[in-house]
Amino acid sequence: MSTDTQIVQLDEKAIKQVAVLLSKEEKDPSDFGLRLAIKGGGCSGLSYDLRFDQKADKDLTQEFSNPDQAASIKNINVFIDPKSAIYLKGMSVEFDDGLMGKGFVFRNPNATNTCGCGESFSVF
Amino acid sequence: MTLLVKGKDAENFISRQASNSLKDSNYAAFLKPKGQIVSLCFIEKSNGFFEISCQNQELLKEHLEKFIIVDDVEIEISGKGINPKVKLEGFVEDQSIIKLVETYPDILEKYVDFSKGCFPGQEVLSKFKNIGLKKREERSKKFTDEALEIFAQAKNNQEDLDPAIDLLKKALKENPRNEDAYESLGVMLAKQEKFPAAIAVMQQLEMINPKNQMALMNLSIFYMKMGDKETAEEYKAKGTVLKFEEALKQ
Repeated sequence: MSTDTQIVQLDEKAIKQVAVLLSKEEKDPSDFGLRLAIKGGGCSGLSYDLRFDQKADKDLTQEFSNPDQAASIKNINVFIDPKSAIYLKGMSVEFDDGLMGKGFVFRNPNATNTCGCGESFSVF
Repeated sequence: MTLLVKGKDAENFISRQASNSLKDSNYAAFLKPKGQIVSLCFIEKSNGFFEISCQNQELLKEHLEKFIIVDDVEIEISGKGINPKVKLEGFVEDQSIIKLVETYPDILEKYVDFSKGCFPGQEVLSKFKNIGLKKREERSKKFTDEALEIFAQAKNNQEDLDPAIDLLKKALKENPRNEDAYESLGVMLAKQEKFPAAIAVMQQLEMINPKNQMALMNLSIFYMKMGDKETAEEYKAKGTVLKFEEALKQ
């Protein structure tokens, strides 16, 4: 799958980690990708939904090359439904693997308000 | 003023004329065969007769009396005041009910029972529901999808959103119950920092579906941006309670 249009950015660590997890869960990367979606709720109003899923009809797709050249999975796909895209556009996903690492961290340059848990935000 | 419909055959007679099932009380429309509205009413059953509250009692009485042939039915105008439930702004006599549905999309749900026996105007309404309404819903969805596509391609420039916003407004004209269109329109208006307009749109979404979490959450965010923390917290609390209720159901 190729990229329809740029909605989100993933940093290199995030891409690698997604590929590792896809491998661990034995999901075929040509069939499964990372779904990013928005749902209501959370301390700041909106929350992210993150899971492996197959592409749905109207999904916007972005393909990312795995910077880990030794890995078996060379590319990963990100799927975003068009309605979530209006909230997610411009977002970047990073992977924090440090000592106090939080795992996947969502940075939204549009977010004017985030909560301490880092999982909830508002975009206006 | 109301109409009182009495007689042994009153229930059967009203049933054959009204667009909705008769219960102890219910909204109903009286239509001509091609769907023009004679009257929008609120019908109450009381002590063996029917009390019909409507805006134009004399017109309705004259209309209904044309259909009394051998039925034991008597219709009289009573002096009671009009039930405010049937006051509808923009209602025009002899207007097609289909036209009125465009302004008041919940008219079909409120005034019509498609599973009841025949009534004048039923064919027009059924056709509209099965064909006309479906086509409008499809067009509305198409406009919404196009708007979201435009948004996805936009360079994050507030001006770029105007074509998408216009499409969403078109989508809502076609189907005033398109929840996705309301939500998307509200969010895009907010991105243009037109928060009062965004709030108005989200409040319409909340009216259509009080259980729409995104409406409640977006309203909370928009009010916060407007500096109204109290209202923002109210909407957030509403959304949170709803979330818990839905989680408990599962």
